[in-house]
Amino acid sequence: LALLLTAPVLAAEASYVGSETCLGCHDDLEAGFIASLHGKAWAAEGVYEENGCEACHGPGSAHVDDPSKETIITFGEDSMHSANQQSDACLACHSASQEIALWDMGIHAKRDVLCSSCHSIHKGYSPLAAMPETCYGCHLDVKIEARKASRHPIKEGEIGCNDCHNPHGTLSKAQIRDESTNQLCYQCHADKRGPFLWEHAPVEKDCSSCHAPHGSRHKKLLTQRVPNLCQSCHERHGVYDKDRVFTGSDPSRFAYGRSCVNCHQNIHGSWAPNRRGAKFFK
Amino acid sequence: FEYNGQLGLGGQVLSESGDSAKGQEYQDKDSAVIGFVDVNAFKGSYYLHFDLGKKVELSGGRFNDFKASIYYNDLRHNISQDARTHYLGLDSNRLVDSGNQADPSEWTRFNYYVEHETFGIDTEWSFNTPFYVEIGAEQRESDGRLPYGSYSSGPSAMIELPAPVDWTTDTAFLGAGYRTDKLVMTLRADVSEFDNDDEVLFWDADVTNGVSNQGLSLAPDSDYYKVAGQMVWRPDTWASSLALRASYSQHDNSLDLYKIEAGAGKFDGEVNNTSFDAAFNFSPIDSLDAKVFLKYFERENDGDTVTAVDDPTITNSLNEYDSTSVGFDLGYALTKSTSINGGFEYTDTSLDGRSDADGYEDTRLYLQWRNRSFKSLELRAKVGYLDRDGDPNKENSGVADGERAYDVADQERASAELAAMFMVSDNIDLGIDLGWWDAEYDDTDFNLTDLEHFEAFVTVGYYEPEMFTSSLYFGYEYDETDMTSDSGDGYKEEKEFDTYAYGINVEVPLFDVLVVSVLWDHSWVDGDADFNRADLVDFNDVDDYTIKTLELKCDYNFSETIDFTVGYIYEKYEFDDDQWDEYAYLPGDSTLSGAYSDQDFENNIGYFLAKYRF
Repeated sequence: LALLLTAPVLAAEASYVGSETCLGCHDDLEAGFIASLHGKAWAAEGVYEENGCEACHGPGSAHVDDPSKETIITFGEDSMHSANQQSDACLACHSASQEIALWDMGIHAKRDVLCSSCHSIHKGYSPLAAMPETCYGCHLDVKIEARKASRHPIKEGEIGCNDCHNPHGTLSKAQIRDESTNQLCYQCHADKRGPFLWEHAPVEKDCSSCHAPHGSRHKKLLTQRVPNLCQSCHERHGVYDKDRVFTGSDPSRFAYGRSCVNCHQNIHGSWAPNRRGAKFFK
Repeated sequence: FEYNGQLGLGGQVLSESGDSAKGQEYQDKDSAVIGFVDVNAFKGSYYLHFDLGKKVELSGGRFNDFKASIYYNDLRHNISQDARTHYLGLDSNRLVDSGNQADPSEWTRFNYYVEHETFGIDTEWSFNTPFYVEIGAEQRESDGRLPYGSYSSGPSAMIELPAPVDWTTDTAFLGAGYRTDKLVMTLRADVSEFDNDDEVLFWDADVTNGVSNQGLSLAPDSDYYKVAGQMVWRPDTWASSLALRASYSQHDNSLDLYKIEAGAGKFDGEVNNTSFDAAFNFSPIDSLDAKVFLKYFERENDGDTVTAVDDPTITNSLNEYDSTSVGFDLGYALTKSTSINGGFEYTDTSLDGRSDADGYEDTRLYLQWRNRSFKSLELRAKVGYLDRDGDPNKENSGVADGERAYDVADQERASAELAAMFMVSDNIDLGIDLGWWDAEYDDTDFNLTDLEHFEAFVTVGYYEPEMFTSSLYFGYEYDETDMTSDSGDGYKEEKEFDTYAYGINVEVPLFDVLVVSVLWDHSWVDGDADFNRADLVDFNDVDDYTIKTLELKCDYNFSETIDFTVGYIYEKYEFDDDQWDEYAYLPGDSTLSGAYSDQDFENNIGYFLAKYRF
């Protein structure tokens, strides 16, 4: 514990030694960084020449004297520095970004997620996290949801986690990239935004009242199958047991196939100016 | 210029059986030549990237100065293959009865799908200063056919029809701001225009019985505008940050209702959303991290009030609501390795225009404990609680008829999570996550009364350097839904779902130049619904399905610049649901088109790819 608490102090008291000194022991790390996009940007800006390794890892003289992890800022789960201390090294440059400005308030920071948990600086060309694999590393529940029978095209790479969420933090619930769930969904599903003549009130308030956005065992990403989802609020047209489906003794359009939606097609809202429009038939 | 990148060229062979729409739900694969281009170029501060693969994108810029990209993407959503209809005029908005309703084998065959082609351009300029300007535009063309059901009088009371999709969505944005490590301010305006070539689907309801042409409303043209601003300020005290965000948006449309039904007039719809958020994050002492927040969202509906042309007692409701939340999150480090977090949120939501409720109040609490005392073990436990004090209007006649909106009903929801990450040894790690929640609609007499969910996830990673890496996951979910009918029907229905998923991924390097990888995913669902009334027949199969995926891949590193990849992918999907078994096109008084029916499939894909790195 004493070492953990004093490590930053040691680093603060240390002085810069230059990258040449660092590479005397860590030359295997330089080639990957120089070839990466991050390295290219630094080279163009003169950052690497100016501070080199120590721009991120802090002044290295203490580490030269005592080459242990306590005497230099390292990144990753086995670092002796706290998540905040590691993040601060990145935020020293990247906090001046509208994407990352809310990092301090986000759930990932609160859960001690490290920048290096998702971003790799010394390996690969782009430091951008691979989606969705990086997210699935922690969010196994979402991985399983996104592979259910009904899902968004996440597996095919057409949608990435960061299309809907900003992993660095937003002021919205679940760190979504809009003020409300509906406004976010309308960005792609503009045909559902209305305004409708006949509104289905819960639909206008929250798409997730009925839909599970990552994936569902039920068709159309629904939280329950139809008719049960509809029956959560409405109880109409009697009973829907197995006698009422195609193979039953009394088949009913209320129960088989798409069930309620067989007739109430415009369930998000309707513009038909008649009583059937009011019931979302037309 | 300095270059790097990869080029790939190869071919694939596809063999598929069953429903190719579900088998290729979000893709359009075929036996064909495949390839990709991924090129980066640099010169000084300038960079350029070209990507030709899943999408086409050219992007570039100058570090800290400007960046721009232009892109094109084609996304096809296949919905159902080999659907059929007895109507003529497919892809138009006027479906004419062919007169051959009796024999589905003679009907016109078609596929349900929606294809989206997106083309866009965006750029951001900062000129190496804290100020920036961004601008972008995108056009999305969507076409295809969606299944639409409708109800009319006559022998064919319910009918499923192919509705045309012919949409264009144009969006554009303009933003500007100032950003430093202490202060970030942004202001952005968005506009979106949705155009639909077909705002009504006309169809012959029942020609033989003289029922006139029917009109089914489709999404009309609409416009959307939004202005949003955000500020994040980091004062030098208490490691704090203050964030403020405000936005205003409007979406509207104007349509001639008489096109749908004679005698109707016009409808002008207008919905305005206003939001404001504020949050202050601070750390007055090293061991305490705190956040207080306020959220406000208001939806106003300034649309026209219209009375149904065939029933003067029915007038549309203009739904509005506003929601205000206040709360805090606290995190306290008890020791260097143990912390507790807690939070509280109170939300007051007022509803206007709904006949079933005036609003509700939510109180949320959570408490979390985390420990990393042992280097190889991390533990986390969390409990949460939601109390929703709803205000459903029990005087409303709809309630008596069996309506009770569950989104505003009284609810008590409790949740618990337990997670452990364990480094068993230097090369084996184990993760276990357990979660449970239960939502009870405690003042509800009928409809949804209880939801319960339990989940368990296990991950194992096992690595032997230079021999293999492997990972395994297992997931289990249990869901139970209880519903009660009103006194008229007098029964209870209990639905249970067991969802299983597991997967294994193994990579084995061989002879320094080969990497063989195997990936296997298998998930399945077992659902049923039981009634407590003796004369009702239980469902044994409710959304039961099995998905199996096998991927075999062999990467051969031929030289420093050339790789070869050979792969095989097997996918199988089987679905079984009493609601869809023995699907019929003319069941009873209905006419169906085959949408979503019989989606089982089995795919075999083999591919070869040669890659050149430079």
